Amino acid sequence: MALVGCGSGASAIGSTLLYAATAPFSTPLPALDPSFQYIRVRHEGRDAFLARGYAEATQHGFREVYYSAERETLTLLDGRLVGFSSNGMSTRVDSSGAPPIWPTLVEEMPLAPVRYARQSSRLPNGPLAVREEVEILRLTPSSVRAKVEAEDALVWAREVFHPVGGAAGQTMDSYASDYAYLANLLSQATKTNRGEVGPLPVYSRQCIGPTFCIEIEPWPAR
Amino acid sequence: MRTLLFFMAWLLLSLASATVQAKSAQVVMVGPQAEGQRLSKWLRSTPEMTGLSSVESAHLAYLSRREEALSKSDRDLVEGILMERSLAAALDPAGALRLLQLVRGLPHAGRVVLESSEPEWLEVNPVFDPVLREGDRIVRFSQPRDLVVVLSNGRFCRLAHQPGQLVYGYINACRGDSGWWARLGGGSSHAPVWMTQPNGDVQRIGDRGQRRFQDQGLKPLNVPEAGTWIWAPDAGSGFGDSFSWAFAELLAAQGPAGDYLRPVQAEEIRIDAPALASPVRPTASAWGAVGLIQTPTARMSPDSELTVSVSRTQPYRRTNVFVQALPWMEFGFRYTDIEDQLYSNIPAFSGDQSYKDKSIDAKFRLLQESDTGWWPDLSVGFIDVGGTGLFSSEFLAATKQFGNVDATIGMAWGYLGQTGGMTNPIGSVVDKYKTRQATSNSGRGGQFSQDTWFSGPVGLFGGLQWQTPWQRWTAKLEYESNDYSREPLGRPLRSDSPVNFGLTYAATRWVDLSVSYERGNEVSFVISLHAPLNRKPPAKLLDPKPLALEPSAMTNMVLQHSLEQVDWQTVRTEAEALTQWRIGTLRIVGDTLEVVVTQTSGLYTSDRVDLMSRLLHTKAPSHIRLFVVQLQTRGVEMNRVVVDRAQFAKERSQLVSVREQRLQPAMVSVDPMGSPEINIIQAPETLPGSSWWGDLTGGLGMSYAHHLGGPDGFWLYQIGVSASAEWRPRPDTWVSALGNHRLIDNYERFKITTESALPQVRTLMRRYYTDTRTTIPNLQATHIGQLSIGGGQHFYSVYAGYLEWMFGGAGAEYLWRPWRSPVSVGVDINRVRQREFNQRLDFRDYETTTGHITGYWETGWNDIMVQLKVGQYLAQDKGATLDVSRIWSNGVSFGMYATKTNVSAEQFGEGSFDKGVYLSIPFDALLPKRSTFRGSFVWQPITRDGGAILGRRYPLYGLSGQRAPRAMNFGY
Repeated sequence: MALVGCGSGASAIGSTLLYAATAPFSTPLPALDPSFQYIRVRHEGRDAFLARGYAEATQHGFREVYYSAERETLTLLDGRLVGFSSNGMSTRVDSSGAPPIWPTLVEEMPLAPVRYARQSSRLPNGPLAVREEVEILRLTPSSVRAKVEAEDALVWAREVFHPVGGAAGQTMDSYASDYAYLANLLSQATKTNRGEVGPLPVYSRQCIGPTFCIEIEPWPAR
Repeated sequence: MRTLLFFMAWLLLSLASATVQAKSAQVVMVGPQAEGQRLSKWLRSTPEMTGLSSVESAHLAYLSRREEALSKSDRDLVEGILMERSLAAALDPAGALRLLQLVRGLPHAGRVVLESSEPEWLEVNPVFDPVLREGDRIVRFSQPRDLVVVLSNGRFCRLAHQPGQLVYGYINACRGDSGWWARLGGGSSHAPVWMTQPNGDVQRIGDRGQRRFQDQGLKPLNVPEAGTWIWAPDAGSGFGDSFSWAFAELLAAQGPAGDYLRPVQAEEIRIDAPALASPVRPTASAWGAVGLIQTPTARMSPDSELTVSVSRTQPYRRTNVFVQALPWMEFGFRYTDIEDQLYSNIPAFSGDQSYKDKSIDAKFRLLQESDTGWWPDLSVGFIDVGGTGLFSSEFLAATKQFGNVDATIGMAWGYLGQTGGMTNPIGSVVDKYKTRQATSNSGRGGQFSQDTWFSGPVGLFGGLQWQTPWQRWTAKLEYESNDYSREPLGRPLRSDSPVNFGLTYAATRWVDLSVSYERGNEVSFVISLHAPLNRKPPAKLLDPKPLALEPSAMTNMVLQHSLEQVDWQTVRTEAEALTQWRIGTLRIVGDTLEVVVTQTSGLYTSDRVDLMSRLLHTKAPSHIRLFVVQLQTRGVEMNRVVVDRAQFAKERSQLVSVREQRLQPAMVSVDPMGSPEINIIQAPETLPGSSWWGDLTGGLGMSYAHHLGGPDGFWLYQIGVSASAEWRPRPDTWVSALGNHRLIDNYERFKITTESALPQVRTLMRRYYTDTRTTIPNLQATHIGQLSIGGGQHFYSVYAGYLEWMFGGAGAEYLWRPWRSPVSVGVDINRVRQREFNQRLDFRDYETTTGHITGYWETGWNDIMVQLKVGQYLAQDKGATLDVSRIWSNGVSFGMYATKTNVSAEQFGEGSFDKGVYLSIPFDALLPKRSTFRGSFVWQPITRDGGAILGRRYPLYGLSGQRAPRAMNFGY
C-alpha cells in the first residue's frame, strides 16, 4: 500500500484498495464436497482443507494421500505424516519400520517407551537422510494442554524425536509430535490382507524438524 | 607427430575407460507396453516401484533416450576440449586424459531432472509428469552417503559426506591442502567451483567461499549434500566457464555421485576440518545498517535485502532505509530527528518542528570471510557522507564467526571514534590526517566531505553477537568509542559506560525487534522490517488459472476446429482480459495465426504470451502450426514472439527437460525487422480489427503526493481524486490528459517558498502544490514512429502540450536502439514555457530550451543499468546526470542519480548539487493478481533549481522496452 500513492496509473490506487478491501482476512470455510473425506491442516494459524485421494493398506501400514487445491500432496502412514510435496519442494519421512502408535496406548503403562528409528529427507538441496531416534510415550492427562484436558474421551500419545544427524552444521534439538485417539476405538483393529489397520488419530500436531509443525484433524471433526 | 600423440591418447583412453564403473543400482527398463504412459501411472503399476518407502521413492532418476541424444552435444563439447588439451603439452595433458577417462566411463546420460518422483503428486501436476517412451529407464539409486570432488588435474576423490561441511572443505581435503595458506583461505580454492547437486541442480560458486544464503532461510548455498559432484578446476587451469558448465551438466545427467556411481580408483578421504556453524543472522543497528547496537560490523545483509528501521535512543529518533544494493555494498539513507533541538536557530521559522538531519551511508566489503581459513569479513564504511556531516564517521571493521558467535573489532574515525583511543595510523604518514577538521560543508550540506575522511583520532570498537539456542533470539554486546560529551549541536549526553548490551527478537520472518541498554543509563529500541527486493513474484491466485493443456490434444492435433467455427471476437476479448493488452487484429496466413497486439503493458511479457498461447491453442483451427504474436507499443512493432504450437503444448502438459527446452524452444522472440520469413505482407483472411474512429479510454482513481523533510513540516501530503483519459485516433498517435482534484491535505502548514539564485524552475513548487485544488498536470499530443532506414533500430517521437505539472511546450526525441542491444543512445530537445501555478491553460513568462543526449547501458553485471545524460537543464544550466540502478528479474529496480552542472555549490544552494535515490516496484511483483501498474518512491534530499530535468511522460526508452536484452526474462 505504501507505494500505491506513487503508482504509475490513476486507477492503480483504486485497484489496490479494491484488492485490499476484498482480500479475505482469514480463510473462509470452503464448501466441501461430501463425496470426499477431508482433513484440516493448520500451519501458523492458517487453515487448509485437503481432500483424500488414496487410502490403501500397504506392507508399511495404512497409507492415505491428501490433495490441496494448489496440487500439493500430503501423505500419512498410520496417521503419521510421511510426505509433503509441493511445486519444487518435497519432504519425505521414512517411517516404514515404525510400529503403529495405537497398540502402545492399549497397554496403558508399557514397561518402557517404545523406540524406533526414522529418517527424513528434504528435496531438492535440503538435508538428506537426517536420522532420528524416536520414542513413543503415552501422555498423562496432566501433561496434555489444559484446553483438551476436559476431553477425557481422548487418549494422547507423544513421539519424541532425537536427531542424530543434522544439516548445515546445526545440532538439531529434539522435538515432539502429539496424537489424540478416541479412547473407545483404541482396541479396535481391522484385519486386512496386508496386516492390521487400527484406529487413526482424531487430532495430531506433527513436526518434521524442530521448526516445522502442522496440526492435522479429520474434517468435519469426529 | 600430432597424429601419433592422438593415437596414443586414444589407446590409453580405451584401456582406461573400463576402470570406472557404476555401482549396481536398480534399473528398470520401460517396455513397449508402457509407451506413451505417464511416469506417475507407471510408478503405481510397476511391482518394483510400488513397495518403496516414502524416502526410497524419492531417490528415483528418470533416464530418457531422447535426452541422451540431446545431451550428446554436451558430451562432444567436453570430450573435444579434453582431447585437445591432452595433446597440448602446456596444459597438463595427463590430467586432461584422466578427465577424458572419467567422462568416457560415465555409464549414464539422459537424466531428466524430476521435480518429484511421487506418483500421486505427479498425477495432479501433469506438467511435471513425463510421458515415457520405450527404452527409457528408471533408476533407483541408494541413499547417497558420499560425494565426489573432481580436480582439473584429473584426480578425483570420494569423500564421506559430513553434514554442514562447506564445499571448500571437501576440495581442500581432496587437494591435500592443509597448510597455513589454505587455512588462511588462500590457495587455488579461490577459483570458481561447480556443484552438481544430487537432484541435478547445477550451481556455480563464486570466486571465494561465499557465505550466501538461500532466499528464505539460513542455509548457505555452498553446503553440498551427499551425492554432490564438485568440479573444482584450479584457477590457472585454463578451463573456461563454457567447458565447466557443460561438464557440470554432463555430470548432472548421470545421477548422484558417490554411492550410485563409484569411481573405483577414486581416493577415499576423511576430512578433519570441522563443519562451520550456521552463520549468525545479520541484524540492524540503531543506525539501520547491519551492526551491533551503536557500532557497525563487517557483515552484509543477504543480497538485495531492503531494511527499513526506526530506532530511538534519546534524544535521537532515526528512520533508516537501507538496501543491500550489491552482495558487497550496503547503501542507505536516514532522517535523524533530534528531539531536543528546534528545526533552525530562528524559533519563529522552526515552529514546533524539531531538528531533522539527513544523511547517506555506504559500506563496502573488502574481503570476505574464508569458509575454511582464518580471514574475517573486512569492510570499510562511511556514515553521514552526503548530509551536513553532523554524525560523519568512517570505519574499518573485521568480523569473524566462532561457533555461534560473531566477533567484530574495528577502528572508527569521526563521530564513532571520538574517544580517540589510538593514534591515526594514516596520520603518522601524512600529517594532515592527524587532526579532523569540522565538516567543510556543514550548513549547506550535500557534498561529500572527502577532505576529512579517515582523519583525526581513531577510536577502537568491537563486540559480540551471539546466536542463542533459541533461534529467534540474538544477544549483542559491544564496546563503543563514541565520546558523548561532544555530541553535535553542542548538547553533551551523559555516558556512564562505553559498554552496551541488547537483545534482538525475530518476531516474524520480516520483523526484528531490538532492545538495548546503552551508555549505562539509557534503554533504546529498534524496530526493523526487512524483505528481499529480488523476491519471486507471488503466484497469481486471484486470477483465473491458466488453461490446462492435454498432451494428446496438441501432439496429435486432434482439435478439429475449422476456421468458420471460431468466434474470433470472443477470442480477442478473452485474450485481452487475460493479458491486459489491447489486441488489434488476428490474421491467418497458411498455417500461421498472427495476433497483432497494438498496446502492450506490464513487464512480464513471457507470462502474458503464455496465457495468450494457451487460449489460442484451445481455439485455433487444427491446421495452425505457428502463433506469431506481434507486440506493438503505441502502434510500433517492438518485439515478435513466434510460438511453435506443438512444442508449446508439449511443454505445458508434460515434463520436458531444460535441455530440450533450450534446444527446441517453444517460444522464440525475434527482431520484427529481422525475420522476413514470417513477416506477413498480405493477410488474405482478416479478422476483426479496431474501429475507424480510434479508441477512447479513461479512468478515475485516487491520487496521493507528498513532500518530505521540508521546514514547514516533515510530512506534507495531499490525497485527491484523479481522472485520466486518452484518445488514440491512430495506434501511434494519441492525446493524453490527466486531471487532479485535491481533497485532503495539510498544506495550511506549507508556507515557505524557497529563494534561489537560479531561474526558479522547481523551487516554486509550493505555489504549484497549493495554488488551486483542481489542476491539469498533463495534456499533450504525442506521435511516435520507427524510421524505415537502418534495420528498424531508429525511433522518434514528437509531442506538444502541457508536458508536466510545471512546464508545457513542444519537443522531439530520437532513439537508436538495436534489437537486444545493451547499449542505446537517445537525443531529446524541447522548447518549454513555465505554466501558471494553477496548472490550467495559462503560462508564465519564463521559457527555455532544454534537452539531452542520453546513453543507456545494460551492463549485464549484477543486473546493473547505467544512464548518462548530458545537456541543458530547465534552469539553463549545462551538465550531466549519472543514474545507476539495479533491476532485478522481478522488475523491481533500485537506483541513485546525481547531477552536476556548471552551477557552483553556492549558486545551487542547500544540497550543493542535485541527487536522489529511487525504488520502483511493479505491482505484478507484489500482488497475487496480474497488474500493469508500477509504484515508485523517489527520495530527493532537497529540491532545488539546478540540474532540473523536464518530466517527459513518454520517453522512447521506456516505450521500446520490448527490445531490451532482458525483455522476455522478467517474471516468475
